[in-house]
Amino acid sequence: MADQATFVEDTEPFMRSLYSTAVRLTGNRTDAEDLVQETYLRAYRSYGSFQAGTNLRAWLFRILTNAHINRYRAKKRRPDETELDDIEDLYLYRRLRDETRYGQSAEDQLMELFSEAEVVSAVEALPDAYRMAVLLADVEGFSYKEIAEILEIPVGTVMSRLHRGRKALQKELYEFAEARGLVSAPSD
Amino acid sequence: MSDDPRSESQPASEPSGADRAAERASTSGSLGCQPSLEELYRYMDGFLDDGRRERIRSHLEACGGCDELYHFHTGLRHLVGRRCQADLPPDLPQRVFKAITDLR
Ligand SMILES: [Zn+2]
Repeated sequence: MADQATFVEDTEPFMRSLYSTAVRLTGNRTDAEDLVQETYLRAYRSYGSFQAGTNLRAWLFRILTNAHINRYRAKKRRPDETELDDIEDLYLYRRLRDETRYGQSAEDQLMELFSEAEVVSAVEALPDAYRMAVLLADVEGFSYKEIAEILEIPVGTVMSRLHRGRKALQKELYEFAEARGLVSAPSD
Repeated sequence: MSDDPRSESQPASEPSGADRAAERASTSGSLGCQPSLEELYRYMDGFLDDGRRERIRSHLEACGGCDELYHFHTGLRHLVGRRCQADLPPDLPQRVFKAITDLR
């Protein structure tokens, strides 16, 4: 059982990554600050039920994603579980292969090709359930098992949301590259 | 979007060895290249048992096509990870914790 007296020092180190995720979930900084505020208030109230020594970061992210889902439902902006179209597995890879230069790492090429604004808007275009899985895995580095616990879904569902979410993200990124004329449209 | 004709067809360039490897990898075919994209993701995300992980690792070492594909996907993962960071407003911790001490 955790002690409320040490709440501030225990949880402060995680605020930066919670805030980053909140910005990508809500799409703006004001709502993100409110979401972080609400997360910390909820966490503080139930800190007595947190098992000291277990995964505090995952516990805080569970509170954050729950708070976000509840707000979202209240606003009823979009359906909870939007399905994504089927996209071929190697969508972006196939289309960028011929554009890429040798002697440069894939990561450097991708960093050069896509701006922060484009990556962010591709992430924000994902339906909520997929976006959460992608953010928790690719930005926060949580394991499948941790993501399953945070989102309270089976590990198999984590994997399918990640797989489909990553593919949808790649399709979105490719469309940006094409719109800017960075890649030539396939000649067929 | 979904009726974009380009999503039905492949680029017209000659299929390279890496393309063929990618083709097999994407369909988890039985000809040589075993890892499917899903399995490469599990490998990348650290979700395979020791035996399977070792088999993928040695396959990537031996197969240029799968290795290139793998690096592309780790590159994408890092791209998303790096581009999605947001700077914490400097006064947010103070505001959050003030709200909490006000509860006490
Ligand atoms: Zn291979």
